[in-house]
Order: sequence, then structure tokens, then C-alpha cells
Amino acid sequence: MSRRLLRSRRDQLAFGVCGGLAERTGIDAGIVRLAFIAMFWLGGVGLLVYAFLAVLMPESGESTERVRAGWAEAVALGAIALAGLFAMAATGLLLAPGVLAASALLLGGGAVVVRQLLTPSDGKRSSADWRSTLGETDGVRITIGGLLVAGGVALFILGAGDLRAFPGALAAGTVVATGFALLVGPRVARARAEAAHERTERARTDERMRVAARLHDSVLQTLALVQRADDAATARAQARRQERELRSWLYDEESQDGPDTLASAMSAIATDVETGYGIVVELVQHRDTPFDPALSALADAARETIVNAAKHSGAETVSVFVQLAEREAVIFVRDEGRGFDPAIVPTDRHGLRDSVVRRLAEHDGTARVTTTEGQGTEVELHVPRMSST
Amino acid sequence: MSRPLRQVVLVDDHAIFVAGLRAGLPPDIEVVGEAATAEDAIPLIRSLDPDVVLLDIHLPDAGGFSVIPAVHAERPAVRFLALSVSDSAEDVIATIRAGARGYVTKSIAPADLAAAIHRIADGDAVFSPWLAGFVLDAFSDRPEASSDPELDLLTGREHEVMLLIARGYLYKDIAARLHISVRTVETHVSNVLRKLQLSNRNELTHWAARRRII
Repeated sequence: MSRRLLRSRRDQLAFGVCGGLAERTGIDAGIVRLAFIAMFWLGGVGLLVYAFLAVLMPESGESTERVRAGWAEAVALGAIALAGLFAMAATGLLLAPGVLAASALLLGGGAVVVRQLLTPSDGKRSSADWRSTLGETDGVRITIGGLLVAGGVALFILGAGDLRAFPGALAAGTVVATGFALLVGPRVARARAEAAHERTERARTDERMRVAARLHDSVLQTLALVQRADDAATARAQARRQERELRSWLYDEESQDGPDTLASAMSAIATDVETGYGIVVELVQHRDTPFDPALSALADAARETIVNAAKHSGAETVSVFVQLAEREAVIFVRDEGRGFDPAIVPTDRHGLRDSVVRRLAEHDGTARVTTTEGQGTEVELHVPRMSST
Repeated sequence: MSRPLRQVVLVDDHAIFVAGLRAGLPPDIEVVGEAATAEDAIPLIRSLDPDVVLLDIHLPDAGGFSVIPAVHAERPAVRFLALSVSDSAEDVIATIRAGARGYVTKSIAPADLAAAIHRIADGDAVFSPWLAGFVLDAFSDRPEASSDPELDLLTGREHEVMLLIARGYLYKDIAARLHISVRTVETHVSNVLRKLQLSNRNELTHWAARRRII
């Protein structure tokens, strides 16, 4: 016996309404179904109530296997319903089929519209993605509801001969359906609230699992590696790479989908060089901006410069400062290594000239090297910005 | 040059880091006490009255910045140096604005940290490249109507000094490059610290919160 009133997916012939009622109340589903058929004979009320409930009751979230395939039961119930129908038609107790269909369409359509108008107020649909997709189905459902109502009105007009019988049937159906709605309404509302709560809870659990998986794949693996690392340099490089990765995951949500901004590209470069060359890259950058060709060239030039410092300077640390001003972007790459005399750089070493100077010149940028033998090197890379932020 | 002995309290909940720090500091820095939570730290600092408190920005029970005002009322001479490994800009700036005299990352070399402690104990300010870069960014665009230009703008010299710190230069290198004394560099940094603590421009702490890159 379940606590909430939900359409059953376990015990379902049409929409699971009877199964749901049975699970909620503990009465056998077959008896509930017979009761609905009995009400069906009473001027079609059973059908109306069933349609109303099918629309209003939320579907159970459990996806357990069905306990009843139910073909035999469906055929048996259908036969009982039809037999009763013929018997009542023969004795003239039944309302004309045209009136029944018309009022069924009217009430069913009304229920669909009412449900759609009520649901947005349940407050759980905060996510923007949800709202947009739901907005579409809302429209579709209201349209269907409207069409049903219109169809009911049309049937009623076509079957004008039943003019006298119709108001009575409509009134009876409405009264019973309203009574039912009042009876089960609060329960349905509570069930909806609980279903929504359950959804939130599940989302929270999913998020926790995601974080746990992420930490396991990254931090715990790195910690294991660090414990087994033979030398301090390897351990430090691994720790630095992990720190940077975790930091960007925690604080840098915008740039998780690959380096499409300058800051994410520079972080990736710093990590690569640290891992590849076993040095520390102290990266300072406070602003970020989407990539454009000039900034992309700047980042490539910076990578080449940082790699040069890592390979040739002998310093353990390279400081990188990224400054995004309104008119230009500047990257400073500095080390306290051995420095060099620019005049005696071998002519076969084209790294700086080709990769850095030429690359920047294509975007009207410049590179300036300040170095003294024995006192470190600083390279300034400038490019003008196409548009200010 | 012999430096005076400095008494230091460590407030940090990472036992391994604290142990490493103790081992790496030179003999003229004496660690007189340790605390792992803000709750323990406040009475400890009050009773020990150290020269400098090394304060982790993240503590298990509260933000590190909550320790500063609680101590400051009784022990105004105690100075704070904020330490962190990977905190958000918001937390770092909140700690500086609560009264810390500087901010360094935990990856700092022990010798540099010792120099920073002496500098802080002398009443000067200590900026890491990260903090200098933040100042440059936060004070870069000129607001149309600055309520207090004295506090809301950097002077040309201060801007130069911040830029060199952000690029990774030490104070002595900066002094050499700008042909000024180390003492003057320290004065500029202290003035910038005062502006950082007192300026309202852009509501700095909230502004820092929107800065996701550190």
C-alpha cells in the first residue's frame, strides 16, 4: 500500500488510475475497476471521472516491472462494460451516445486546460532549460484541451435533437467530477509536491555522485601517484597540475568546454609546461575574454616563450602575468635564470623570431626581450585588441 | 645584518603544512603557538600577543577574516599575514579588507616567507603577484564619478610598483629598476594596501566574487 496517490505503472490497463487507487487504498484493483464500470453505466460518469483522474494524477516514478499484463482482465472488463451498456440501452436508461461523447469531450478538455493552467505554480520548475521545453508542451496540451472542448460543443450542436437531455447529463457529470476533484485534489497536490521533492533529492544525489566521481578520478589518483613518486620534482609537478585542474573546476565554470577564452588557454599552457618540463609556472591573470585570432596568436607566442624559459633559463620558476587592458593585451613572461646575450644567440635558433615575433606581427603585435647574462630574462608580448570588453 | 627575533602564531588546520612550515622557517622566526580553528585562535592570540599571525584564509569553523577584528580590538599591534593555496578572490579580498597586512600563497619559498614576516612585523605590507594583479585589475578603469579619488585611483608610481610585483619582481629588483630605495617601494605598497582596505570602488569584495579566475 503506497502512501501517495499516483497513477500506477505496475498495475495498468489504460492509464493506471484504478491500479493507483488500489495501491493507495489497499482495495483490489479488480473491484476498483468494476466500480468504475458501474459508474460508467450511470450516465457515463465513470468515464468522465476516469478521464479527469488520468489527467490530474501524476504518474508513479518507479519503473518496476508490471505485475499484470492484463489482457484477459481488459477483455473481461470491456465485455462487462459493453454488456451493461447494451442492457441499459435496451431498457432506455442510458443517455444517448452523442450526449455522452459530447460531455466527455467537454470535461476532458476542460480538465486538460485546468491542469496546464495550474501546474506552473508548483514552483519546482526553476531551471531555464526545463521551462523552455515545458513551455512548448504546455502550448500543445492547451491546444489539445481546447480542441476537445470545441469538439464537444460541435457534437452537441450536431446532435441538436438531444437538447433537453444534454444539460442534465452535463450537470450530473460536472457535479460528480467536481466532487471527486475536491475529494482527491489535496491528495493529488501533495503527491505532486512529494514527487517534485523526490526529483530535487535525486538531482542532489546525482550531483554528489558526480563530485565524488570527479574527486576520485583526479585528486585521489594524483595523491596515489604523489605517494609513489620517487623524486620531489615529479611529485611537485603532479601536485601543481592537480591543483590547477581542481581550481579551474571549482572556480572557473565558464571555461570548462576547452580553451575558448584567453584565461583557460593560458591555464592549459601553464599546466602543460609544468608537466612537460618539471618547473613551476606562477600564472597571474584576473580578467578573461573570449578568444579572437589576435589573442590566440598571443597565447601561442606565450607558450613558446614559457617553453623557452623552461628549457634554457635553468630557473625553477617562471612568472607569467596576463594583463588585459582596454586597448591591448600584454603577457609578461619572466624568469630569474641565467639570461643570455641576444647578440650571440645561434642563428639556427628560430624559436623566438619565427614563433613569437612573426606570429605577433601578423596581428600588429610586438615582442620585447629584456635580458642580462646571469640576471634572468623577461619577455613582454603585446597585441592590440580588436574590440574592447 | 641580524634581524630581530619575531614571535609568530600559525592558524591553519592542515597539520602537514604547519609541520613543514615550522621546519622551514629560519631561527629568527619563533613559532610560539598554533591553532587549527578560528574559535581556538582568538583567545590564543590574545594571550600570546605575537608579532605576526600567519592566517589560513579557510578554516574549518569560519573564514580566516573573522579572526582579525576579534583580536584587533584588544591587541592592535598584532599583524596578520594571509596564507592560502587555492581560494576564491572574494575570500582573499575579504581577509585583506578585514585588516590583514598582506597575502601570500602557500607555495612561497620559506626564505621569502621569512622576509615577508619581518616586513609585516615592521608595519609594511606584503603583496604576492596575484594580489598585485588583482589591484591593477580592480583599479584599472577610471570610474566616471569617483567618490574619493584619493582612495579610488592609483598614482603613477604605485601603478608601476604593482605592475612589477605582478610580473614576479622582488622589492629589491623593483627598487633597482625604478631607481628608488626599497624603503620607498615598501611605502608605495603600504599606500596601495590602505586604498585596497578603505576604497569602496566597485564594492571590491562583491566585485572580487564575480572574478572567477585566480
